[in-house]
Amino acid sequence: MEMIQNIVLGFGVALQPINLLYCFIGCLAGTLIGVLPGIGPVTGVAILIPITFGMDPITATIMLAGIYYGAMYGGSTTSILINVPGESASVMTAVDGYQMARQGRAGAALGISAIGSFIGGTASIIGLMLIAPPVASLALSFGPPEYFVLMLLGLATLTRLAGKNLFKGLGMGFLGILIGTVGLDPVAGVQRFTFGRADLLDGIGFVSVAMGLFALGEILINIEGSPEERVFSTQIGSLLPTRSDWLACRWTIVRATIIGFLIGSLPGAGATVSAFMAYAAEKKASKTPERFGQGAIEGICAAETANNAATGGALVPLLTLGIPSSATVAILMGALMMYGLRPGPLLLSERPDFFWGVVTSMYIGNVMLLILNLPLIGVWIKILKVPYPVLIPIILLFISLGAYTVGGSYVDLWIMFAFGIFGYLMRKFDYPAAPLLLALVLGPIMEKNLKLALKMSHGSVAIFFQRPIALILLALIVLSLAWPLLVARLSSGKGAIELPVADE
Amino acid sequence: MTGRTADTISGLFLIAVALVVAVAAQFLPTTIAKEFAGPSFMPTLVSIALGVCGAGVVFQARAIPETRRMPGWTETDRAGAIRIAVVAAAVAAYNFLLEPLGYLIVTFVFLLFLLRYLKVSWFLNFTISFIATIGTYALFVIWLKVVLPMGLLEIYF
Repeated sequence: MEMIQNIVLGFGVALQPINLLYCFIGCLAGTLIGVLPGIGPVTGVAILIPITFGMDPITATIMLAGIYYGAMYGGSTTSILINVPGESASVMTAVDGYQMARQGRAGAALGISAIGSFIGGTASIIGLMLIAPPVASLALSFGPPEYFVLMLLGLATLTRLAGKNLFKGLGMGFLGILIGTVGLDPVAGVQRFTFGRADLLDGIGFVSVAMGLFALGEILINIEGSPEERVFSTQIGSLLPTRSDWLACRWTIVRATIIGFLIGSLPGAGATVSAFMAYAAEKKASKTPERFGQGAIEGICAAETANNAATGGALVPLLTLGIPSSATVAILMGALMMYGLRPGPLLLSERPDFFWGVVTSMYIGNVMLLILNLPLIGVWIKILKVPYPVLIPIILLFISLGAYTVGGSYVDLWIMFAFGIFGYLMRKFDYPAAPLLLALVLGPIMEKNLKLALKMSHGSVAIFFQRPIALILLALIVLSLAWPLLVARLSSGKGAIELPVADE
Repeated sequence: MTGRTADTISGLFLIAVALVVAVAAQFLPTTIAKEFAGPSFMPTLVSIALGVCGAGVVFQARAIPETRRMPGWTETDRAGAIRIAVVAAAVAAYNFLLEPLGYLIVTFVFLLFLLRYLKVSWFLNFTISFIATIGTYALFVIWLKVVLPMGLLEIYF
């Protein structure tokens, strides 16, 4: 009964005209960001944060969430049509999607990915609604030791999954924590590494860092090669999958939804890993695994259903525990804090209108995306034909504007620039960027909880081993470090696939 | 550049950053009042961990075959390096000139220059530069009420 009341409350908020408008803008912008190669959801959300200034926090979050899950929908288009994933979560879609496009079945591939995305995305929202309240209640019993270990778990998982080299991933995580120590000490209030500058007292802005690392860094990498035009030249064909396609995909959608939601809700995993796991599981379950990589529609369906199911899952740790599960969600968390909200277990009880309004808006957003993605496919193809040299200066302008308007000072512009160069070098030297950003957002909160935990125990680290929940979470950290071995085992054998870098 | 060289350089960079932070952290108070972990605690702890990671990268680099080239480095050519330098310099110039010259002038010139450099036709170049400059001004300044520097055109706004 309470759930129904909450859903009614949520729809009451989400169906307000202003929220519907921004939900639509978010979904449209998200799809566009997903369609355009070179701009991922991290960049998209970061660039558009300044536009949300002055908005009601609910409206702003509805729009930013729309960009996030909209990008997952849009990412499949470029993967299928030109073999260029719009974002990392669509890497697995390209494997079979492009092959189908080459066989003249691009329409069916686009159709099944849109329908799978819709079902996965919608089912994950139901999962979020059912799971979030009990998780938030459980989280109320968490103290500083549990929170510290939980954040450590998120970081450990992401750093382990974000690249092949453990030391590189962990190194970027630690570097992010170090950058997060710039500014005032979260407990004592003492200045650290500010060089006497007042504009560094609040620390280094995560939006400037995100824009530099992900947007400017990516542009510099892209421009290093010839900024060629990728021209789409494939027949689309019918958008509706055939009866045999449906039969092949009916259980795929169910499996991928469950895998996507569960993996997506793990702190540190995210949509990329979900898509990979669902694809690998589908290949294992198939009687004809040799078709995978040659244009198997189940492969596309698994990857797209899972990466959209992961978006709902990813909001579980954010909205109930205050833990972002990926770089994009970390940006979303930073934005919520900028709006004066505290993501965590109290959010549900303190601001039920916010929680249920945002969650129910995702239902509406998923319907909007289904409408945007199928009939408007011709528009997205036209956008794909916009030459990259035209996009580069406009993206650069938005990055600079975003950094300046979020921070309101020159320092943020230069921070963005410095991290852009650093992001370029990270890519050249094969370092993952996502752990740095996640650690930057989590670092100050982690430090505060670590210090409070040590205060509780009078300086003894034994407190982390004496409390059952903290102990379980520590065990999960060990498991997360062994996770890639499990993934490798799942995809072992003939035609093993490699885990894509989770930079989302 | 070979993979071994690249990892050795980047690992040493992490160690250098760790050393600098560890030394800088020693100038911070170790405890404040009854705190068990003062302002220097976290930077010291994390700099040690970062140093260990840097050492790990250097150590693992030794196992990379000497002949294996770093992906992405082999394709680097002079033209690519110039393109990066020009785009980075344009962004830096934009940052420098935004306040003295003002948003409208700097943005228009920035777009005009980059689009021309990337070989976009003059007509399209002027059209995009003009629309993007005015459009972003309308979006941020008029609609979102964000204050952007007007520089030389300050007297008109």
